[in-house]
Amino acid sequence: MAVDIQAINEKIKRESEFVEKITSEVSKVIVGQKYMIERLLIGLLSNGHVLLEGVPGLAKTMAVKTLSSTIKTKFQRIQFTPDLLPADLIGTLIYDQRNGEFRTKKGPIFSNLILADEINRSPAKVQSALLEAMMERQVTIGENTFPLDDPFLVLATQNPIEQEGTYPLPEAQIDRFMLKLSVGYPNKEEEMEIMRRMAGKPVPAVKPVVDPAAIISARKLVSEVYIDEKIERYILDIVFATRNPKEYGLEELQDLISYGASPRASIYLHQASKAHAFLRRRGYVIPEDVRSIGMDVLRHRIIVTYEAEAEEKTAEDVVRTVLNKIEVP
Amino acid sequence: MRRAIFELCFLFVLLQSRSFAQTTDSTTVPDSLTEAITASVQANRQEVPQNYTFKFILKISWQSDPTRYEIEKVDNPVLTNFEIVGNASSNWVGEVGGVKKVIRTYEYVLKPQSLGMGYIGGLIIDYKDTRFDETHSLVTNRLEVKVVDPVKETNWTLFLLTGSGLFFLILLTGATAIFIRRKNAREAEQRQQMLQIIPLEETYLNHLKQKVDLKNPNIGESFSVLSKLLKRYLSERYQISALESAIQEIAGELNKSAVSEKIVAQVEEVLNTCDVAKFSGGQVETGTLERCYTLVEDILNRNKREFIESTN
Repeated sequence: MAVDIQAINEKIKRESEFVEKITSEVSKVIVGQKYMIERLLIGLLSNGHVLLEGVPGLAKTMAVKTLSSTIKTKFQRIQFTPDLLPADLIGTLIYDQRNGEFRTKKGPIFSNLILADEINRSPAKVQSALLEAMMERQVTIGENTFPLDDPFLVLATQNPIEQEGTYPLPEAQIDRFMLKLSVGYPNKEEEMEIMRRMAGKPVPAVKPVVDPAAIISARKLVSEVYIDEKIERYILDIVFATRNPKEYGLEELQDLISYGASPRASIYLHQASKAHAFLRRRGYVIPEDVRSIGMDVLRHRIIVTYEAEAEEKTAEDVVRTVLNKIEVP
Repeated sequence: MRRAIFELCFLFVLLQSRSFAQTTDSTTVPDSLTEAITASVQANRQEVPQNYTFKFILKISWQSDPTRYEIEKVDNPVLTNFEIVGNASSNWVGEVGGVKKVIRTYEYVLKPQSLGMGYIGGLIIDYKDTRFDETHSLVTNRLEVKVVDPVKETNWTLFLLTGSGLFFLILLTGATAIFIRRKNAREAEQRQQMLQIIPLEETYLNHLKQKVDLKNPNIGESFSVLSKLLKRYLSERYQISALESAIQEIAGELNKSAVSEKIVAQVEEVLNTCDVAKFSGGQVETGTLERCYTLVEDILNRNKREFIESTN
């Protein structure tokens, strides 16, 4: 089957111009963190929710807020606290005394971009309410079901330290995030720039440069990005290697993995690789796209055994080994 | 004449018997055939080097009641050219064939004083026969011992030192020999390994000719073979995991291995082109495959030349 790659490439070049604009606007506020910004864009382009994990002060919240400011969409920031209720999130029915009827009051989730800040600080019922909305893309209040706007993207943050009084997301729920980013510290030069920019000066204003229609259009184009069967097999090899490492010559991982990646991992890896190729202005996926995004798609989908914990091996170590041992096509 | 010879032989035998008597002599006082008391002297050497010692032994014995005789006095030997450096005595009483026997032994350790002859004078032993309550004496003969030139004594310390030195020398020589042998083996192995690099490039050049078919209608397959061949070569040549890495990672590893910029650029070009051909789903021109083929060939030839130059 001959694919008109030239046409796709040209289309991508044309329609991906907004990516430059977004990154340019975001870089007015955020110094460095290119990896995080790129992954947020991948989430945006492949319609996948993103969980950001990092110690406090790494501009996770600011990055999400700034990204939202560049898109002409409704943005809501929800600070998750232990006393937050599902109704505070999705909305509730209010009794109207004037006409004696219940009126629906929609919650902040009815927005395009949701920043669920410190998602692990709220109890499971609140997390469930959010995660249900994330998967179904609709919310039921009373007897009425309301579809959520498109685009609808949840960008959640959580702090890996200060675990006291937190409610860690269950594996089944964390699996619904397409990407889990591990946000790291900036380097020396970047931190020097941050220091100079933020020293008593107001945060530069960011203007909206893209409308939701452009995002939706780009998403369609992302789905058109060509992915060869060899790459698809490579994705499957990676995912299956986390389930049956022995079959892929990874005997050393056999006792370290309790549960391998779910089929959702294959789906998201497929989608995210296409979005990654799109960001590189390429109309087809290459193994580099899969390898580049693999860690962020897989790190929260592998459950390691007690033996692995005893050996201080993390899910990231397992993913790294798999990615480094599976032969690229 | 015959008689003269006989007389000479007799004289010789006589002299020999005298010489033997110098080392052993005994005096017997018969009482009855079975109860006689005897005394004998003996030197354990007839000739003694000046720096050696020898033993002079006096033995008094009788076969009867042990209390029959009482040794009252035994004088020290009168010595000429010798001195006493030690002495000891012992008394043995026992039965031999049902007859009681007593042997008393006096042992002297003597040391020569100067070269020449040395003499041990006759000893007088006073004893009392208790049966008859009479006192008698036994006298032994004089012995002569020749003092000869001192012999060189073995210096054990020097011997041990020399022995140890020799042992360590042997050990050191052995260790050095093993070290040199291993070093030579290692160098030979390294030389062998270096020599094997030439066949590596040659092997891959042969693979390139045999496996990459420029006229294959399935051009994507040819690109796939070419890219795998190059990655396999890079893995073997630079000890990197090229087969499991993305192009950027391979380029990074090659840069770390101090590979020339031109080769890295060529590798990147070939692999990127192969990726386009393999994964873009579109048709790629045969000319592109030919260019990639030439680039891979060039990389292999260049590395081969570089290696030969470096070994020369």
